[in-house]
Amino acid sequence: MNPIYRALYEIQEFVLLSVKSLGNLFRGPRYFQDTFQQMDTVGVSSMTIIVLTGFFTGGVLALQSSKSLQSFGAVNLTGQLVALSLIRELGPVLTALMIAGRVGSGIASELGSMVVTEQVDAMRALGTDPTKKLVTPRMVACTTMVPLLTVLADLFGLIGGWIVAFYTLRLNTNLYWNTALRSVQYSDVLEGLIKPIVFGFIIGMVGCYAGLRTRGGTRGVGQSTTQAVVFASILVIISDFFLSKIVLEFRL
Amino acid sequence: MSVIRFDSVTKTFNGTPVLRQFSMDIDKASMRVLLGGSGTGKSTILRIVLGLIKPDRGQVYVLGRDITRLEEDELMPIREKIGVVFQAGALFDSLSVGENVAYRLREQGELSEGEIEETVESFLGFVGLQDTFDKLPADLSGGMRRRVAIARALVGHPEVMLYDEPTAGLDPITSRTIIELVMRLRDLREVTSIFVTNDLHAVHTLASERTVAEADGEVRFERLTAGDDNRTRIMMLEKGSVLMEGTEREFHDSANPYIREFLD
Repeated sequence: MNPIYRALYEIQEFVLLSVKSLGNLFRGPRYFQDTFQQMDTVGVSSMTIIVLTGFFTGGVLALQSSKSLQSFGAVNLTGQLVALSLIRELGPVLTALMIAGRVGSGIASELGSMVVTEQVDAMRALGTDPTKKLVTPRMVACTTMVPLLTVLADLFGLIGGWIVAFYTLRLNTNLYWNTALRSVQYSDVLEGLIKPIVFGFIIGMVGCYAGLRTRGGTRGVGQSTTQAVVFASILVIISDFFLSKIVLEFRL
Repeated sequence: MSVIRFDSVTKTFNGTPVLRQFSMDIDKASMRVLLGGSGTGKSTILRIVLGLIKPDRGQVYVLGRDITRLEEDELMPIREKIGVVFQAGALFDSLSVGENVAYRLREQGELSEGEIEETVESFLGFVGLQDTFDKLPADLSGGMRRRVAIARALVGHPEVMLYDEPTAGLDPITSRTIIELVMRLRDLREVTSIFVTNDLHAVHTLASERTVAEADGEVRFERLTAGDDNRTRIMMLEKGSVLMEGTEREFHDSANPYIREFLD
């Protein structure tokens, strides 16, 4: 098939799967137990890496920004810079990239293995729609858990920034938290929550799509896993640009 | 009355024809054994019967209904009447044996947990694997996995059974156990079936023996004699077309070079 037609075909199939997966929310049967299980896998099991990512990102933000701020005599604003950078941009994007690596790959390899061992066909033969049983619970889990993990990353990022500001920059604790929390507007929080919802949806759907499109045995599973991480990461970064643009345009 | 009917079905994958103008008619309680080399379209036929893939041209009728262009949701009630045993069993590896067999019942949600457990135990008993209820598929041998797959397929009392090389790679004793299960379903429960295989020993057993239930409930297998109603017909495929269809005798007597090579 012509590469352009192939790309268009893949986009069409991805969109159709996404629409079907969303449509399943309004049509039974609903797999609540599978959804909660996936939420546990995506959310609870990812907490450690998200806490570490957020904490050290906040720390390094404080460290790096202090140099620039010092030259303007504005080192007091370290808290503000850490808070805004984390909540509006770095928290959602870094959380999404970590989840794409950890969860997106896991979803693709799990579903890919099920495809090559005919378990997905067996599921269909036993009267179950795999998009309802496998795709929608994962999509819902990613869409709901990535925003929560982002809040966690933001929180621990602020703590990381505070530890660096307090022990390295000798900044007053009250000053750090006051500038940090006062600078954050309602629109910043909204932006910081809308983005991870979209990112979570992308990660879940790309992982499921890559997994269900697996062909060619264990080698195919490996390829699907790589594709899931690469495409989810790229789509997260691209959509981040457009979401930022939309938010800035409409001053959400 | 035919339970499964293919009418001039053609299917192509990536430009390669897998089935060409393929036609087949299977009556109730009879068995069609599909033989042929790799890539001759045997497994594709099973997938088309299940509605997992759609033919490019032609019509497919299953249990009196034209399924050729049915949507996934419309296929579900038909699939409930079909049991399938995939090549390697295709058991859900994250579920226990009991959960695998109970899968369809839990999906239907019509029975209580107690009734489901009782039903699962009776089906596992039928395939001789009562003690494996809590085991994971990974803990079972290849033959046991296929027997569990048969038990899973039987839940819901299917009118049609599809077997995709269920004896491939198994030792003769395990293979015989599975063939006996298949014959019991064919002869005692009158299940219509398609049996895909390249195992000529299995073909011979299926075509030359039948199951008899004694008055005391015991089951025995006896050789068919001339004049007995032989429900098993053999169909040899080559490049997606029917090369030969008939009894085992006709198959062995065929002078076709491809069949001779296959038999030798």
